[in-house]
Amino acid sequence: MTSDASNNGLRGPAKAREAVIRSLFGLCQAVKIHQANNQVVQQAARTLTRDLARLVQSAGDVTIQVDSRRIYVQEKRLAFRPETVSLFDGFIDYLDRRGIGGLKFQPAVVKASPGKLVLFANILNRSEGHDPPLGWIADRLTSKSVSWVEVAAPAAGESEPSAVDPASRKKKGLKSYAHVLGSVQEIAGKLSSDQPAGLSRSRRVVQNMVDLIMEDAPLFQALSTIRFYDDYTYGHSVNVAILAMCIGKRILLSKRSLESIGLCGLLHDLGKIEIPKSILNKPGKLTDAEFDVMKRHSINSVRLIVKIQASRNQKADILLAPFEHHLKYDLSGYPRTDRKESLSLFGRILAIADVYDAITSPRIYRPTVIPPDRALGLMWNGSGKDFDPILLKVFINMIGFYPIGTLLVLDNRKAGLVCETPEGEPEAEPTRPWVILVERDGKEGYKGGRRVNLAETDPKTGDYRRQIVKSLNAVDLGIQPMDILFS
Amino acid sequence: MGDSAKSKSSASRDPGPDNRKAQAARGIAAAINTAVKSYTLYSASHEVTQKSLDALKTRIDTFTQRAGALRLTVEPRRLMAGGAVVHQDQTETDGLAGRLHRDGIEWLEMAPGVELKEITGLVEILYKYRILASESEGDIVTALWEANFSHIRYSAREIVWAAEPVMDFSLPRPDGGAEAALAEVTASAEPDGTSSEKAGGAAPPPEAIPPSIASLPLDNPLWQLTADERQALREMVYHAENLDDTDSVLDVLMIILRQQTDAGETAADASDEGERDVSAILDYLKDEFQTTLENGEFRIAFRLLKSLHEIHQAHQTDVPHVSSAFNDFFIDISGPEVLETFNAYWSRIEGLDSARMKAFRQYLMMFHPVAILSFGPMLLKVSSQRTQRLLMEIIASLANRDLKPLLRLIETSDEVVILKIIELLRHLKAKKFTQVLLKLTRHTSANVRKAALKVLLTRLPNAIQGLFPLLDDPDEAVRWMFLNHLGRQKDTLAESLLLDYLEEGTFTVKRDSHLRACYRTLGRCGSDHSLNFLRGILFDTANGDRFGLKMAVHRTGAALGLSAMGTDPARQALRMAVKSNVAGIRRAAETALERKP
Repeated sequence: MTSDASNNGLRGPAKAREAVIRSLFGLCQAVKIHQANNQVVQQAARTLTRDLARLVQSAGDVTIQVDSRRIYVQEKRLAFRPETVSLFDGFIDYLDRRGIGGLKFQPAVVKASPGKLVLFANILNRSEGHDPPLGWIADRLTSKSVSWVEVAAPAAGESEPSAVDPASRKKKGLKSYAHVLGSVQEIAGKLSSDQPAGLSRSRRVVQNMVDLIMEDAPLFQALSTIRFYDDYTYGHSVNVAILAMCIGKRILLSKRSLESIGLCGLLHDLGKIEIPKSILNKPGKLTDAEFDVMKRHSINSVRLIVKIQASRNQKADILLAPFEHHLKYDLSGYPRTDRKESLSLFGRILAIADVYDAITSPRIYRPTVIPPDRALGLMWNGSGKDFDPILLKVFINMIGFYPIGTLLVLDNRKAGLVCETPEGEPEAEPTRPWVILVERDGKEGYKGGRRVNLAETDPKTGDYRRQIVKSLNAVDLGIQPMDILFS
Repeated sequence: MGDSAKSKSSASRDPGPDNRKAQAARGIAAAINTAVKSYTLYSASHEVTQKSLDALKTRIDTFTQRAGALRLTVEPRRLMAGGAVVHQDQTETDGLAGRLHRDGIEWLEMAPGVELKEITGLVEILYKYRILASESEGDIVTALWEANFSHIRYSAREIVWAAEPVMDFSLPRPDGGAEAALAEVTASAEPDGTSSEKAGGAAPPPEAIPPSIASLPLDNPLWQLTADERQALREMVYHAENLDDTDSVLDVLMIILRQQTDAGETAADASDEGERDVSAILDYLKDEFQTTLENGEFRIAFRLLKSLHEIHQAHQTDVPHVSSAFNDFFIDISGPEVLETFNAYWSRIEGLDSARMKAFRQYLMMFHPVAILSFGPMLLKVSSQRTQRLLMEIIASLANRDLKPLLRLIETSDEVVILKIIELLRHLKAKKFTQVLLKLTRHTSANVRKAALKVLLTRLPNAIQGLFPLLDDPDEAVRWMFLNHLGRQKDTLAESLLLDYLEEGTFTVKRDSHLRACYRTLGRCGSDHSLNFLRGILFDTANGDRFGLKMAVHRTGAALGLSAMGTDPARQALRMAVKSNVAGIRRAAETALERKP
């Protein structure tokens, strides 16, 4: 068994990442069948060493994680291709049975003898049934002086999202969204009428959201496509919270930090309750005086957060980012201060989430909206000036070039709603997502049709079967993406 | 038959495995209650609290080793385990089950291997949230979520949402209906030049619409994070989660505070809301200040203090409501609750180099004068002369701004503290401090009166009239000190006062020794005017009492006074007295001559 044989069409790093899974799983299987000194086993061990060495050379530690039945190597999601489905499913099931959520190989692994790798594979194989398996594995590895690998538990609350039907997932997601929306409306209402407002309710809903993102990340991200015409501010706040938490999860923030950044997102525009509606909803350009008033909202948000009934520590976690969310990466923007310190991580994340949602959302005075892929194009122009370039890359790679919920008009006179985005890799064809064809439901509304892979090619010509003609923002057609995505 | 009976009898005594489990679960529920109660009565580190936690752990371990995880199912007023009631709240509103139910806990489970720190964490959560304010920052559920225990699991229902309607997320359909809109966008199907494959990344964007991100060339570095970027990202996360951003938070609050105070300055009528905003921020900063002090983070604490002091100074007169809020803030942070924190750091402070000590002194001077009430007792707690001196300087400086706290300190403090204050007052020459010393000469403690008198006699050697009542001080040492001062030189005022005292008999100390001392002092400070008086008393042949003391005492005193006077007429009077036919006069003169002053 070699790792290269089935890697058709993959190049570079993606190939190397996929190869590691193939060779690791291959070794584990070989060890089950043959003795340690068997040629096949020895060859499998050497292959694994070689494949790990490629990644070690480019990135140091080699991490393998399984989350929501997706495999991430070096934090990159491996694309499921027809020829890898069986391998990946088998590997995920293999880890799942042993209660393993991830593996981390240190660079020293490349110097390990084939015998040690075989020993490691044996330990993994034998760990099934031990309670707890991770403790057993750790003990064995320690006793055998295998220190170049760490074995991690699955992320808390992890489960198989696809095992739940789309309607239930949608219901669960919308309920969660409504709760979060309710909590921010409640806080704003209380503060605007000068009543005491606590954080308890918001914390509970945001904690639930953290659990949801761990449990069903695709659903969670899809929730950020929800759009409102009226009540923009609160819907926007929830979307910013969701997007910020998605970025947070992507960069491996702790659950506690995800809660904090979620609260920051939720409360970042709280100060708008003090801005006159005539300015908030004014069509067209604001006058200088009106813009001055508008610019106060981030400071207003902090003032109002300070008034919330919570401990100093709790408030300290959620003050800075709302203050900074209109400050740009180069410290221009507002509020203008003489501070020279760079923006906080949460502030930089919030700025990205805030701008993306703002420019892809309809307003009462602006029913037609920029499509998500163009919004990303616009933001990319501001990389390094308006936005942290690394975080913006992370965001774009996370959300995809045609983000979920983007409406694509195809050359076969059909429209499809993006439902799954490939990872941001050339090999994974990031410009060719999966779409759900949008059809009329006969009741003046829409329904979801067939799922189509836009990367599909004509076997005879090698050309793509469908071309993207243009992108639209789904709300332009009155489509709430969630209705189609989880129908 | 015998065996069967035996077995039956044994079974009736044996409660059975389910009963034993229920019994053990009851013990655990009771032990949880006991541990929570311990927290209400004792500190977390108290032996009783620690024992209750250990006992709880032992019970849980025993249970889980035998029967696996223990799940306590929560009902409104009781806890169940394995179908049996294992805890029943005694009251409707307050009890373990009630609290868990209040926050929506459905069940709480303790798995084998639960650690003491997890049990402690659980009990602390139950203690912290035993009473829940209507607007709190969290509850038992949020706290359990945050604690993320490995061996304590729970399930919570969404209690706060039960009555909420499901939201309508539908969007309005476009004009002309969905069918027409969809038909329109798909029918045209004309490329707009922005899709990646058509545009190839080269087509210029249509006006006012940015190009799609998908139009970027695929070899763009966007697609992949470099190794350096990944490393930078890891560092960002590490910094965000591990480094303290208090400085930044304080910066932001200062910016807002400045903005609020500046707005108040320009606003024609300062709003209540503005005042509340300032107060809310200052409340936050008070907590921040206290915490940073508790953590020994003096740099941050003092930076905060300095900034607030500057804002306060800038707006002290022009924005009354701001000034008032700041004043309240400075009073709050100058109270014992905050300042007693320093007691933990005196040894560290003592080691500061002179530049830092100077800076430290400047910061301490920014406190409100009520800080004197805290700093005063600290004089006894600092060991080095250097820090004693520092504290004294601070107290003096603050008392210069407002004397009242110093007076209150004196009223409420023990003698030992007041003696320290008198030591301080010795260096403070302003009239108001002299008044304090004068007041202290009437203190109930003789040591205090003596110490205050000592300072005053040095500072105001001629201001004896106000101190003259000390001649009747109940403490002999005080009286002697004052008499010594009066008699240190010829002084007409002292003479006049003493003459009045002795002539009019206003003295309240009815002691022979005191009277003799007064006469002797009169002799030292007096003139010829006193000579006549003393001679008159010495040669007075009357018997009986004069002002409550025997005449013989007066005669002896007068003779001592003449002796102390030391002038020729005085000596002549004594020589005459020695030759007197009156035995009492003769004895008095002989006594005086034997005791040369």
